[in-house]
Order: sequence, then structure tokens, then C-alpha cells
Amino acid sequence: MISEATILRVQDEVRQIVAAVEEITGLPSRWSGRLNVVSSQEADLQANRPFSAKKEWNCHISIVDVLVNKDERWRSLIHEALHSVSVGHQEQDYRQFRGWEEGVVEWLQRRYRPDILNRLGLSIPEETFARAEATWLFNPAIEALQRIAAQLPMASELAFFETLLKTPLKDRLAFVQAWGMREAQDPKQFMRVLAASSGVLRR
Amino acid sequence: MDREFQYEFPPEIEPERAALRAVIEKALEENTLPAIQAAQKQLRAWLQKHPEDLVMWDAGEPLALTEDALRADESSPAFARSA
Repeated sequence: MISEATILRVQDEVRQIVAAVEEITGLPSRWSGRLNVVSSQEADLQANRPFSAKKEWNCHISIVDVLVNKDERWRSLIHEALHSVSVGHQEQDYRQFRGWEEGVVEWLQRRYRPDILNRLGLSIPEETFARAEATWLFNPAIEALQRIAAQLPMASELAFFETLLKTPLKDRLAFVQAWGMREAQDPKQFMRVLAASSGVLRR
Repeated sequence: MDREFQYEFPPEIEPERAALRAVIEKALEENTLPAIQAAQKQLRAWLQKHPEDLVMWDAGEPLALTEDALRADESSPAFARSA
């Protein structure tokens, strides 16, 4: 059983992370201000859907109890805070463009994390997070997005991912397609890379 | 509850874990409610035995979000018209 004090402590951590994410991205968060801690006990797990952390569609953030006292929680909380600012992250678009959301949010989580932890006065070895990230389910989506970004050398990889975060989820594919046709050094090669990546990004 | 997370599993159970991951990936590719719910059931059973598997806890997030999205689609007027 998780104590009320623990819930309030993690809720305050989310509040600080969300503030940092809003400042870094310039995007407003839709987080409701509420944090739910979900039980992993056998009976509760039967009744609930399993997940480590989740930004609910009602904009609460939920986290499983096994994570709340672990350093690994920081990557999950930053990831969920980024979902809360991601433009057009709506349930009707999520299932069609899952890779375009998860890949963008997770790449930025990894990029922003050292800065965010520093702002919070925390020093946590990167190895703490690297093991969980090495086999993360959406790594192929990140790699696909990086292959597309490489076709747009005039924009840095960071600018590419930040631009996507600020583009409505359902428009990201069309936006990138137009961007590539306009600015890629080799538009035909760009279209080949985009076509090859689109299957992974819809998973 | 405060046990350490585990990222490597003994060879005798790794095939079961790899099979679960394949089920989750296939369910997300299929993008249907029955496939997502079947994957969640298997994930739940795995996590009861291996609550220290953070990578699999992580895999539950897209399943849950997709389940919500598919349920919302089912209840939308557009789905009712096309069903």
C-alpha cells in the first residue's frame, strides 16, 4: 500500500518536471495536476491494465507502485510530461500514428533528461536509464524518425523532433512529407526513406 | 515492492519473454481490440510472475492507450454508422 505522503511526493515531482518541460518546449501542458498510483498487487493487476506510467486521456498521470521509489521513474515521468504537451495527442489519432507520438516523445525524453534532472538538483547515472531504454518497444520508431531526419540536413535532429512535437499528431506525416519535398537534398531518396519508415511509425 | 528491476533473464525463461514481446508487437500492428486485450492478458500473467521486469511494464502503456482509442472508436457515431 502506497502512503498518501508518497503520492504527494511523486505528484510534486511531476509538477516540477512539467514546469521544466513547459519552459524547455514553450508548450503548455494539459496535465490535470493529479497523479494516480496504481497497485501491482495480484488482485489489482487482474482488474487493471498493466503499464509503468501513462498520461490518461483525461490528463491525469498514472504510475505503477513498483516504480515510485526507483530512480527509473524519472524517465517515465518525463516521458508522460512530454505526452502532456505534445500537440494533438488525442486518442482517435494515437492508434493510427502511435510511432509518430511515442518515437518523438521518447527521443526528446532522452535528450532533455539530463537538463531536467539538473534543474531538479538530481544527479542520477545514465546507466540507470540505459538498460530500460536499450530494448524499449518503440526503439524502431525512434530509429525510423532519425533516418527521416538525416534526409533533412539543414535542420538539426533536435529541431526535427521539437518541430514534430509542436505539429498536431495527425498532421506529422503530411508535414514531414511536405518538409522533405521542399528541403531535402534528394527528394526522391527522401520519399523512399519516408515510405520505408511509415510502416514502423504506424505500429 | 522495492526489489530491483531486472533487465536480463535466465536463458530458460527468455524464450517465453521474447514470445510475449512478439505477441505485443503483433497486437499493436493488428490494432484491434481483441488482439490488444489478448496481449494485455498475457502481459498481466507475465508481470504477476515477474514484477521486476520494467521493460514489460513499459510495454503496457501503448497497449492501454490503444485499447482506450479503439473503445472510443467503437462508441463513436461514425463507427456505429459504418458497423
